[in-house]
Amino acid sequence: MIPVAEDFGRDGRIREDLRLGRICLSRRLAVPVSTFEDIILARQRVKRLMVEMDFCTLARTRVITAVSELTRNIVVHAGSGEMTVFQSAPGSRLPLILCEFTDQGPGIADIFLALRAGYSTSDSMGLGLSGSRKLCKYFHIESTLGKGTRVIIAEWKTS
Amino acid sequence: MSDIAILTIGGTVIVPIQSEPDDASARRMRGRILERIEKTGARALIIDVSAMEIIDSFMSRLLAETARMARVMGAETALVGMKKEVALTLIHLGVRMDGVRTALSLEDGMALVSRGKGGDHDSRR
Ligand SMILES: Nc1ncnc2c1ncn2[C@@H]1O[C@H](COP(=O)(O)OP(=O)(O)OP(=O)(O)O)[C@@H](O)[C@H]1O
Ligand SMILES: [Mg+2]
Repeated sequence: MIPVAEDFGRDGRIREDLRLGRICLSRRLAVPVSTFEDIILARQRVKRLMVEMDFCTLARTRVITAVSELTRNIVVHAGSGEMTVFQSAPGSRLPLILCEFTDQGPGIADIFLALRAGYSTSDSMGLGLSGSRKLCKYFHIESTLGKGTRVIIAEWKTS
Repeated sequence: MSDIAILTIGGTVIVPIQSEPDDASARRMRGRILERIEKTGARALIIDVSAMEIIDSFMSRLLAETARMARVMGAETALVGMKKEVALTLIHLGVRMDGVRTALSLEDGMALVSRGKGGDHDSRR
């Protein structure tokens, strides 16, 4: 677990609330992910929602880049899976978008290793997971070997 | 999606990437660019990314590889018009595009790749 104690500003509190499931979210859309075209589709769907929610271009670019990395990981490493997007209630004091990426692929043996920049089992750059973690305000990953992987990212507006 | 247009003007190959290519079209684009350089003996390659809203690690690697191969074939590459949000995101992501020059506009890009050839360029004439 990553300690958040030193980092208990507003963002730190929101992270803690997300971790404990204390933020009320509604499910907006789901995209099956198994082909390289699905990566583009997933990006477009998240983009449209973030435009609708009036996120700034930089936040949108960061999050959509992470969506691209995480859906590509599903296609490349797990074969198929799904992206589900949630949103805080419209008009909420906290405009927030959350994307969950799940697959029933092989899972990740060592998450700490997989999160290290440059680590890749597929002779690639190994920047997808470490990058997504840096690009989004909230990042969570869990994986069970032989069962699959679940990654969650979230972004909210800083008022 | 439809294939990306590749233009040749003088000794320069210009590629405006209009939309978001998927992985297959991006790979196809790389092949066609290199073919065009080979066929025309172009000394410069300009890839216009100003319409791209995101560049992820896959695309940045593909662009860097294209530039590296173009150099082996004798053409210098400039990446022009990258949105500042895209550039910032690439830095966050930890991507390094070694050997790829960047310029803000097409004109700057043209100047960059022709200057890059420098005296070397003249002596070859
Ligand atoms: N959904 C997944 N299922 C199984 N393994 C995964 C999954 N996502 C990531 N991994 C493992 O974690 C490693 C690191 O992932 P990361 O996205 O950082 O790098 P990469 O996909 O190998 O390369 P890049 O994304 O830079 O092209 C992968 O090489 C793979 O072993
Ligand atoms: Mg990856």
